[in-house]
Amino acid sequence: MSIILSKEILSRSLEIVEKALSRQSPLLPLKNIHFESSSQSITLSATNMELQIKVILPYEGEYSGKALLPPQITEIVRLMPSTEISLDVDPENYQVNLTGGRTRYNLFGADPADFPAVEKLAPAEGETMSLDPAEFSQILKMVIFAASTEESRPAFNGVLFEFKEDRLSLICSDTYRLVVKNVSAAGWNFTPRRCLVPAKALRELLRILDQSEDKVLLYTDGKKMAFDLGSVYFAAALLNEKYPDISSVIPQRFSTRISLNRSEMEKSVVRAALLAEAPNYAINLFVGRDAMKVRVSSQVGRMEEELSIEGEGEEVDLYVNSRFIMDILRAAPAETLIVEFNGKNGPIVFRLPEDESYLYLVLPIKMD
Amino acid sequence: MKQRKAILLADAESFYASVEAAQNPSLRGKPVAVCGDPALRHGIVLAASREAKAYGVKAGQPAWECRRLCPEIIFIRPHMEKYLEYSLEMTRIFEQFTDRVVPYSIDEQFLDLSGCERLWGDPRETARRIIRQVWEKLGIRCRIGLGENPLQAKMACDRFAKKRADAFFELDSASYAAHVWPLPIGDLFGIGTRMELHLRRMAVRTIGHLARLPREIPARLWGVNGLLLWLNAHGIDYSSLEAGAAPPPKGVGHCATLPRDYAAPEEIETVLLELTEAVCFRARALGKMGTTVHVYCRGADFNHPSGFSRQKKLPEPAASGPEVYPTVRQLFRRHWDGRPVRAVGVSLSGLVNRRFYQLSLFNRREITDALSDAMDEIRERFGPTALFRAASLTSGGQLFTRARLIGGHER
Repeated sequence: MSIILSKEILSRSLEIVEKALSRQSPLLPLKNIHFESSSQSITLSATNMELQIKVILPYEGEYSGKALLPPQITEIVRLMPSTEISLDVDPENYQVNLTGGRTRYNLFGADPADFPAVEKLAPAEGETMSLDPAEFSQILKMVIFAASTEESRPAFNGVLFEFKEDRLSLICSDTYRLVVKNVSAAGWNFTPRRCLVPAKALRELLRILDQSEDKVLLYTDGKKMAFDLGSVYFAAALLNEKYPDISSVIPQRFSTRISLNRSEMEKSVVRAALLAEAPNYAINLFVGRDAMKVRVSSQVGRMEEELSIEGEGEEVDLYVNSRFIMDILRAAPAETLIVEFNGKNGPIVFRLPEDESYLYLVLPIKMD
Repeated sequence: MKQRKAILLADAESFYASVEAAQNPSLRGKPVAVCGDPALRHGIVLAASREAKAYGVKAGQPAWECRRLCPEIIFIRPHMEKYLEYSLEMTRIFEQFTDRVVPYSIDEQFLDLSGCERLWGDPRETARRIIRQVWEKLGIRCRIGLGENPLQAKMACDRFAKKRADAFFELDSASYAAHVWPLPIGDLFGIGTRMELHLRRMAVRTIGHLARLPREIPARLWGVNGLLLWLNAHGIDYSSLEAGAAPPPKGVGHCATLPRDYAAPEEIETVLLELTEAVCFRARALGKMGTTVHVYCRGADFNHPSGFSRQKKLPEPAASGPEVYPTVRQLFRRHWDGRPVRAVGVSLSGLVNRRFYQLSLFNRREITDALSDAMDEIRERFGPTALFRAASLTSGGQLFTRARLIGGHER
């Protein structure tokens, strides 16, 4: 009995699921996509133990069976010449026939018995958070860039989800800078807990979020964090690493506080960064009362530029990694930014105007 | 017209042995070998006097072999500090003739006499004066090669001046081919035993054979290095003494040959810790921190080479034992095969400025820095063993032995 599916829908679903494939794995179930059809739906799932993705497509028809499909399936479907694809699975030997137009594939699928089941977590009462996908995507993008990609300290490869009663704090750092974003809503009541979600998984999630319109349900069992988008179920294994306490790092005072135009500063830093050199990509900021000088001096040459700002407090003259500054200037969703300085070796804190829920902290480059 | 360059390479004959003879005239005219303790395994010949060389004694031979070749040989223990002093003394003599003196090794120094003709006259005469002065002041025979570039000077010294009674030889672009091309290919500067073998297989037996190959052939086979060798065969060298004088170090490292084979991991780790401290000290002295650490271990059994050589990026740039050692130990524990070890080494590379660095949220570098600075100051004033780790007192410790050495030999 064949299933008839839209090529476009099947193709898009496979592209989502294959993000959880582990192509280099010696274990067949981890590099294959699990296919199952029942009388109400078709499910595609994949897992590499760190990530589980399951896509559920509504389908009315008869049972057709299940099988493990080879990873080539995504490309096969994408390159099919027709808009509809007919698919059937032989329950005896897991062979899969795919037909579209005058093209016919006979794929040697595998026994799905060894596939680690992708079961949805069952969240406790009141422990589910519901978010708008566009809003959640925006929040993640404001946070995730600060994660480290170096493997030497795995805790900093993650984003910390800190649940506390009516609030969720997202915390992300690579030890040189730190982002904190608080989200809260009436009616939330979480058991306090800290979950460290791999940034790598969240980057994959972001690509899916941007294509989704359904609400995101977010819940955890302490081992995995689940993001349920209705037709797509996405779960990431939490990092089992100790995350340092960040409360002592955020300064309560500042010596200088300015407000500046985000896009002006972005252009200026981009120009300065052309001369900044590895490994620190240092630029110099000289902050006065109503102007800030952006300067750079390297083996290539020198550059200086002045920006208008509104400031209060002491003058400050410091060095900072231009890439760290560029990251926040690109991610911040506001045209005016508040920046607080704490002397030449103290943290620089970026804030959004009239928004207490977000801060970006970056440490300068020490210069004796 | 472009000014003709006059580059000299001055080389001290049997340097360590000559210094010993200069210090103790009773050794003059006798077969002398400077050698570590003949009873220990680093008892190999470091230098042999001219008289000892006549018996076939060569640097690098073990003491027992040397005694077999020349039973009346006089063994002298090395005095590295003295040799360094003499080397500096030679530099001082050279600096009377030109401000452009570049030490190439402990016993070889380049001098640039270009443009000094009006001051000193013909460079050939100047070279002979230098040879005389070094002999009169220090009692050391030095040989000088003169060329239009460092390569020609080096070839003139190594291949000709050393064999001549007057200890001087000159090569220039016009005479280079006539003198150098008939020499066997292994005599060319830059050719090691492996490269010699490659070239001999291609029937390139003399320097002239290489010079007459189309330049594309060595360039295609060995890239830039091949091209460089071909240029060497033609006596062409574009390097200048100023530019190549002292390239900034890419890394700092220390290695130690152990007094006996170490099989206990605690003992090996003790030496690794000591080397880590020494390497960090040197990095700090250069005002640097390392971003990558490299650990090396060589197994004890020569017939079955074992050991490893691995590196790892540090979590953050560092130049202090407490920050670097955990990674060193991690590398050792992961890669050591458990077999006895004869030599170990630690090095730091990817050096970055220690006073200009990205601050970190969860690491108080100011504190470790202040501690390191204080330790450096104590060791500077009271000696390298004034402050040390307790582990250095355990059976594996090499700190006190190493503190008595320069370049692995006695002070």
